[in-house]
Amino acid sequence: MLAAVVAADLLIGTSVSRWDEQSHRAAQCRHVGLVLVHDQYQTRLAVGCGSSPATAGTASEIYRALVPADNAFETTLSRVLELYQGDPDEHPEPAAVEKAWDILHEARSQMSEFPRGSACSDLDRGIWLRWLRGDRDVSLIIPASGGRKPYIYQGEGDKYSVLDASPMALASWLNWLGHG
Amino acid sequence: MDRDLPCQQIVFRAYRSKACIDEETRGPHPVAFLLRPGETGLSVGLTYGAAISGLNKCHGAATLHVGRIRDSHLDVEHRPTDSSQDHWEIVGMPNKEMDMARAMHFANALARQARTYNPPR
Repeated sequence: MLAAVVAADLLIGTSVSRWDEQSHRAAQCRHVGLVLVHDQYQTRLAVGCGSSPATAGTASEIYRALVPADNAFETTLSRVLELYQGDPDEHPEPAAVEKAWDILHEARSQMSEFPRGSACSDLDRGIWLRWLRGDRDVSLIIPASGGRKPYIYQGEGDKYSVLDASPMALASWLNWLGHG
Repeated sequence: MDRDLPCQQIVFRAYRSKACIDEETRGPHPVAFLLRPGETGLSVGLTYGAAISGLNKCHGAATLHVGRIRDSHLDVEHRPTDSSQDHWEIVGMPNKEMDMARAMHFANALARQARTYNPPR
C-alpha cells in the first residue's frame, strides 16, 4: 500500500476520506483535517486545507496546535498517533487507530474528567491503551484485524474481568478507576 | 544439579519491543508478559546477558523475583533449548487464545511486580 489515510476528522468534524496516490494530495478534504499518511518511505502527518496539505510535523506538534487543551485526553490521543513514529515493525494497523480514535472520543464525551493513559502496539499490531491508579488498572485493547472485537480488561488485585469494549463501558471503567 | 531456583533468585525478561516499557509509568508494560503464538512459557534468563542472547532486537529487560512469581501462582522452570542450555521459562500462563482474561491478569500481575533493569555501561 503506497499511501493510506488512516486518521482524520480531528478538528471540526470534517473528514479526509482518501489520499490521492498519484498527486499525494488529500482529496475530499472539505475543511481542515489532520491526515496520517504512511507510505513506503515514512509515516508523516499533514494538516490539509482545501485540496492540499499545508503543514507537516510530528503528531504531538500538530495535535497540540489544533486541539483545545485537555491535557490528559490530548496526551493519550497523541500517544496513539505517535505509535507511527517509531519502529515500522511496531506500527499498529490503520483500522485499529481509527477504532481507538472513535472509542476514545465517544468515551471522553461521557466523562467529566479523562485520565491520562499509555498507548502501545500489542503483539498483533493492534493497540493497547492502559490506565493505572493504585491497585486498579483498565486496558482497552483494539485488535488489528481478523474480525476480533475490541475489549476492555479491568483488574484490582486478584479480581479481574474482560468485557466487550464500547465507549460507555470504557467511560464507566475509567470512572471506576478514579474512585478506588 | 538441582535446577529448582530459590525464591530470592532474580530472573531477567528481555524487552523485545519498545512497547514493553509503559510510557506513563516508565516501568514494564504487560505486553512484555504475554505468550506469543507457539510459546509454552515466557523466556527468562538468570543474567541479563542470558536473557537477551540471540535476540535480533532488544530494548532492555525487566527483573523479577522468583518468589513473587510463585506468589502469583506461576513458577520458573529450566527448559534448555538446542541453542541454549541456560534457558528458563515462567510457566503456568495460558495464552490469549486459550483464556484471554487469565492471560491478561497474569501479564498485568507480572508487569506490576517487575522492575526495569538498567545494565551497567
